[in-house]
Amino acid sequence: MELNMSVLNKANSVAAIATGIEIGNLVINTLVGDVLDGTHVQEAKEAFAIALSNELQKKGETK
Amino acid sequence: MISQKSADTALSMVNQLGINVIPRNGTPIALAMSHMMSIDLNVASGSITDIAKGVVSAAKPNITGQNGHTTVVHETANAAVSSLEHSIRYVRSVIAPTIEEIIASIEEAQQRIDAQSPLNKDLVQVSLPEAYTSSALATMVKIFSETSGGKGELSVDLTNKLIEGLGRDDLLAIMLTNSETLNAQVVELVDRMVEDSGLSMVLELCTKARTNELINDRDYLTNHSSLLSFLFLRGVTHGKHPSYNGSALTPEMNTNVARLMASCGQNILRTISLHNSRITSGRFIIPSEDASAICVHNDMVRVFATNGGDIEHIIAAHALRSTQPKLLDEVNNINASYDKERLTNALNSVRTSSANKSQLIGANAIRKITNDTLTTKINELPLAERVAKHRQLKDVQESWDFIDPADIYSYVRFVTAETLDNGTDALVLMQYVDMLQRIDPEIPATEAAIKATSIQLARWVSSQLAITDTSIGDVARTETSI
Repeated sequence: MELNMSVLNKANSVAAIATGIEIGNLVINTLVGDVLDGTHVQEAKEAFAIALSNELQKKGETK
Repeated sequence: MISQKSADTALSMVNQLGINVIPRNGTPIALAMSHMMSIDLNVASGSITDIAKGVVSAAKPNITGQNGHTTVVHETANAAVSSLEHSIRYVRSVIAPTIEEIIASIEEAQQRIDAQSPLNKDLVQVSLPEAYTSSALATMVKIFSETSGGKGELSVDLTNKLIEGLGRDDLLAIMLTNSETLNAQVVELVDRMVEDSGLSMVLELCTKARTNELINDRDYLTNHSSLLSFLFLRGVTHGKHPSYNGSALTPEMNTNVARLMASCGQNILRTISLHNSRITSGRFIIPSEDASAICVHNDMVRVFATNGGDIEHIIAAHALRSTQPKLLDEVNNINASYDKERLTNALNSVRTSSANKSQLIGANAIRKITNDTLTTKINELPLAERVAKHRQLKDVQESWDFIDPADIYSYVRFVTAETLDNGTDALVLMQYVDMLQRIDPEIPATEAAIKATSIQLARWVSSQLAITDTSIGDVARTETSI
């Protein structure tokens, strides 16, 4: 049961972050899709993911 | 719906950072997750890939084909796009132009302050016009070295008639002598004076030489009225004036012209004498009552520099002339034989004092310019918003204690964005753009803006998540990169 709780927590964490990523990617598609080509849109999405990871790391460090 | 790639990326983050998160209550992420089906633990418990797959599966449409998760994600993204577009528009159309306006005003004010610096004096280089060195001129005026000048004044009526309607060519024709060299030198002098002061002023000088006042050490390099008058009146008496000549003048007029010519001739001789004395003395700084400029003899100061003299030492000695008058005296030597270490120390002290003064004035000026510009902008807003904005400006100004002279922009950006910001997070967006441009000065503005927006977006997403655990177990933990 302990194993299942850990897995569940992790799965919920993944779901929450993945939902945030979906929202972010949609925003980037709409916001910059008209201005930049596909390669740059992908770069913007990667920049977003790295920034999100950094933000979460900062939160974890101050926890 | 959650894509496999998003789930994989999210799982990597969880594993790398060693965190567990939950969505904060009432946030869009919490709302979206409330539409997900339960994650099938049997599927998820096997491996990392299975966890990601389980999440993807849980976010799929339900058996009725509805997908609340996707709907919330799309609605949230649309709202975020709208908000960010507004932010970017506000930064571009309001905040950035205001910052540019303030910075331009500050730069203008700074230039004015810098111009007041004692080290920012103009070094005006003057030299005696070559006409004075002409042997032909020397011959013409030699006769006056042994005569007394006396007062020779032309009547206003005669003066007006002599210069009325004359053009530049007429004037030069009247002044024409038998010496081609002197003629060329006079043309050069007249043309320069016409360019500097205008033809009418030059014509006036031709008939209004200062007869009661001798040329002195201060003005002999710049006052050439005696030379112009002498050559002009000489031309008149030699019949070169188109309307008047010697025979057309009454005896009284002739006497006055002769007296004036004698007086001018003596001034020309005195000018030559003063100049020779200056050359002999080696003192190249011309005494001047104008504190805004330092007047030096052109050719002599070149010799001074060739002899190892430093122009900045002249400027420093001039700046300190009221407290250390001997310094200027010491430097004022064409041989440049002064104590250079002493003058370098003097220069450094002037520099330090000038920098301190400039910084203090700069900080005050910067605050005032920023305040005035923003006050004007606030007064253009609807009446109902003004009081709050004025208070906001005051609070924001007070919250910034020290203005770094090397980074005025940060202060202006902060005060402008925080005062005018209509809840757009403009300051944060601009700070990110500036940070990215500092890291990579070559980054195109559009790319920097997009990356800055990505960072701001990440900050907003992160704000919807709460960390619940930073030491998760080893279950399915691996190191992967995003």
